[in-house]
Amino acid sequence: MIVAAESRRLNTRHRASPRARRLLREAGLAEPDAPGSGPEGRILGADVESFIASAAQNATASDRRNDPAGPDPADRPAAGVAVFMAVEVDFFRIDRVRQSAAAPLGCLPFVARAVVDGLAAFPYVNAQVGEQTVHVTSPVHLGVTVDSAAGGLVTPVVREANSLRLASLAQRIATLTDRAQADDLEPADVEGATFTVSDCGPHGTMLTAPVLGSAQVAALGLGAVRAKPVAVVREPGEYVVAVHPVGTLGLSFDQRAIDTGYAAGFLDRVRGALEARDWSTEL
Amino acid sequence: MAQLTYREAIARGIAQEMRRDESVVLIGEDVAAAGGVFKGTVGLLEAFGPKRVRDTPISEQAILGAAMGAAMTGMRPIAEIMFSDFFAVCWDILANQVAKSRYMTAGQMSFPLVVRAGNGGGLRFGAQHSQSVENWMMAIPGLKVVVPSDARDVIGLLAAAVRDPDPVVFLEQKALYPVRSEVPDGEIVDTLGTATVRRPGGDATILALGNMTPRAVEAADELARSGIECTVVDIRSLVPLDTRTILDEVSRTGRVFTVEENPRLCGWGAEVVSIIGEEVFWDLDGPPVRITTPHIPLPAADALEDAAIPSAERIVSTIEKTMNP
Amino acid sequence: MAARTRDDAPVSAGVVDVPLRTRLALYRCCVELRLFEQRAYRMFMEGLVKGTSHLSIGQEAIAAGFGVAMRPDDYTFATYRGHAHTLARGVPMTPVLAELLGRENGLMKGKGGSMHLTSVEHGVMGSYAIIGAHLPIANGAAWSAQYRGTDQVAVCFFGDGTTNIGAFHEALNFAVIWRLPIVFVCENNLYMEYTPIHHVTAVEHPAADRAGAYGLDPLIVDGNDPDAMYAAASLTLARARAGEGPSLIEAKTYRHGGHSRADPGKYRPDDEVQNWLARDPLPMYRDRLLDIGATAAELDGIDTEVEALVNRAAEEARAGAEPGADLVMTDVWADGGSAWRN
Repeated sequence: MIVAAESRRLNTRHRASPRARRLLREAGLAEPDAPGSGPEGRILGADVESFIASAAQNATASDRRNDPAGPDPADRPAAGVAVFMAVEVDFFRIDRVRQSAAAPLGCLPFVARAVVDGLAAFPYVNAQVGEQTVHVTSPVHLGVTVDSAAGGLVTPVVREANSLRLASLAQRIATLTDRAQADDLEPADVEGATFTVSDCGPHGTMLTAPVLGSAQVAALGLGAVRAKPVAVVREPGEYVVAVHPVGTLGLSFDQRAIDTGYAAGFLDRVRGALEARDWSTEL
Repeated sequence: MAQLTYREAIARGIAQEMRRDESVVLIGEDVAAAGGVFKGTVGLLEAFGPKRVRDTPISEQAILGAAMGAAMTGMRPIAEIMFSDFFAVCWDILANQVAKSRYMTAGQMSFPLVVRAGNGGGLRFGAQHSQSVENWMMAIPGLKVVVPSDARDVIGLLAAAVRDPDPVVFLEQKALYPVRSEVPDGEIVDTLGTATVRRPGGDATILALGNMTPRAVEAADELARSGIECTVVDIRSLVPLDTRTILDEVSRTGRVFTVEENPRLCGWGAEVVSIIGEEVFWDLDGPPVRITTPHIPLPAADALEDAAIPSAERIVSTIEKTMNP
Repeated sequence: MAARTRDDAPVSAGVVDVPLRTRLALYRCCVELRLFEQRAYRMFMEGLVKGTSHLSIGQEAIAAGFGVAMRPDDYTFATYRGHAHTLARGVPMTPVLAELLGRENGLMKGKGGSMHLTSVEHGVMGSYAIIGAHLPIANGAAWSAQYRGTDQVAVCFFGDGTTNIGAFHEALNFAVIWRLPIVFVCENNLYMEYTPIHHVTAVEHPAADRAGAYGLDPLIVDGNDPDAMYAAASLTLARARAGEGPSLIEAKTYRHGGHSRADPGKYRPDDEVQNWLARDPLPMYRDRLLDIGATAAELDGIDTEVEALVNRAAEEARAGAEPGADLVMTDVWADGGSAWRN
């Protein structure tokens, strides 16, 4: 008797139902690529619940166990075996967006945001190393290394950075930076980072291998973003030279916890987000 | 405990309140000597006398006006409008006068009155004697609106309505008049603004009102056989609305269906679904679905009226197709 | 005593036993109503009175006649042309004027406006802006008095246009069959808003000629004669109090101004207007009082006192604060609030 409305074309930006998106957000996870059980492959709440359960069980190497109790302080290693890899990032799209923001932003908040998303897809990067275990944390407590008032470096922590979008993240970072420079940080402000980002741009250096904190699996450094010639595809197979702002991301990581393939995947994900995402939607 | 029909419960509820409070009186067309055209007020004239139970002429404006004037001067009248369709005849008194006078006079006047009417279709009375008008009432600020779905609720909600200091529209579902159910003995008083969960279920939430509540329960039992477990919430009170219960039950399952006897546009479910979208959007696992009578006047013939008003079968098939596309 | 008649000419009073004291009260009431309405008109022209206003200049004798005759616990129901009926029950001028100005010290704190003046404390049970609606409602108040056995009476004022609306007919029939203690008073000022009443009415006397249809006696009274109105009021109130049921009065009168403040009343023929202005109730009544022994000093004294009252009310109304926005959400329900959900 009643004519059912035609179902509209699937909104490709959000394939998950509102409930599913909330559950993903609370778990700090990105939308899975696999289709869900809903109409036209939409992801439903139940799909996310099983996804979370299986993500907790996945291990990237056979001799690692996810210990829910966390690393035993007694078995923290003396020093990590750090490996370094780097990738160049074209900040062209970000540059246009960041300058049009109400208060112009630096590149660091964008990097922080892309990192947070990357960590959702590569959870083992957001982890601590024990003697026999790797402890994956669900929320991202993002350490941001800045110059302190005393002249050294200090790393205040943005807690639950995975629940913040770009504007809020930028604001939190700015607030913590100001307090660091005013020597106004509490001990609680610098504890508990699960991943660290350093902005070495102000020092003008191209590339830095960040030092890993004790038990930290990985840390990222952002080099200076400078105008450089790049090859831009005008038509398939045809390149022209353009001048774009380019910076380098350097990742130091503990090879006992993740291997180069996994680390490279994470770096590539971050680069991809920085170069290709439509950041204007977050401002 | 007793087995009482919905219509018997009306007389019992009115009597309960009239015994308790001398200022409670009943007026309407054929309510006294004849005991009501639907036999809902049988025995009241005999029990309370002609001063307290009075027949009126066919004068809906005069009936509601009398109730309003009496209420503003210390009485607690119950006025009957025979068919809820007839509210269109005296709409000025209800919507412009009763609903607004307390506000306009900055609280100088109160209107502790109840207007009861026979609401809804299913009896082949045709388009002008079968409407469900709860959504008209809901749309006017200053009116409380309740719709009981069984005998016990008739008594409990009527008592609550009579005792309430504000004007309450009490819509009785004509199709439910002969339905018998268990009613406890003694005084029954309910609370306005409370919905009742008739049946629990984790897969979907059905919100229903009046005659649609028993149909929703029937549909839910049928759906359970195919593995779809539904919660059925009997809304009972449109104003005040028990949003807390409604939103809790919708959040729990993430899927919501309304079953409304009123025509499609601006039915009570439209408002409820709008609130759901605003306040528990992030708990929804799929779009809200409204199952309503289409936007047409009601036809008279058996097969036609049954095809128009939501049936248990239509509820089952809609929910099945939505949950398992 | 007003006589029953079917003639065109309204009957004037020659009333015998209204004591001077009462007549002075009637005079005073008329002066209050006149000066108040004139002040309201001026303030409307100044842009202080909001929305619209329906003045009863010229019709004071009707409100005064009943106002003086009614008991404090009787009920008044009026239309949107209700300033006079409100004041005639003893409601102070300041809150009435402040309500017209939309101020917080208004009779209804600015929530209702000119058309809905209400003071339950003084028995003014509302002024109603939908033509005819208050007749059935007034019946309800009368029924309530009857039920409670208090011998209060409800008096319901309305215009000639009301006699053609459904609610008028329902209410009259209802009042008669339930034998309610109510007086229906039709103020026939010859115009239904902008249209002459005789163009739109099937009978000559819009109220009196309908009385018989409901088993009532026709009662036509000179609405410009305070004594005649007082006498008619006393008669019909006593009848109601004695349990003899309703009355319907048709009071012939004329409004000096337009239907509402927006209306200059140009649709009325000049000679008609001049004719009625010459029968202005106030100077006529003043002359009568002087004839029967009141002194000019007494009457001037009343005039001056009332002038001072109106001046003070205007000051106090102007000084009233704008109502706070928190009032918007109050008093939908008896608990003082407006919540429709939890």
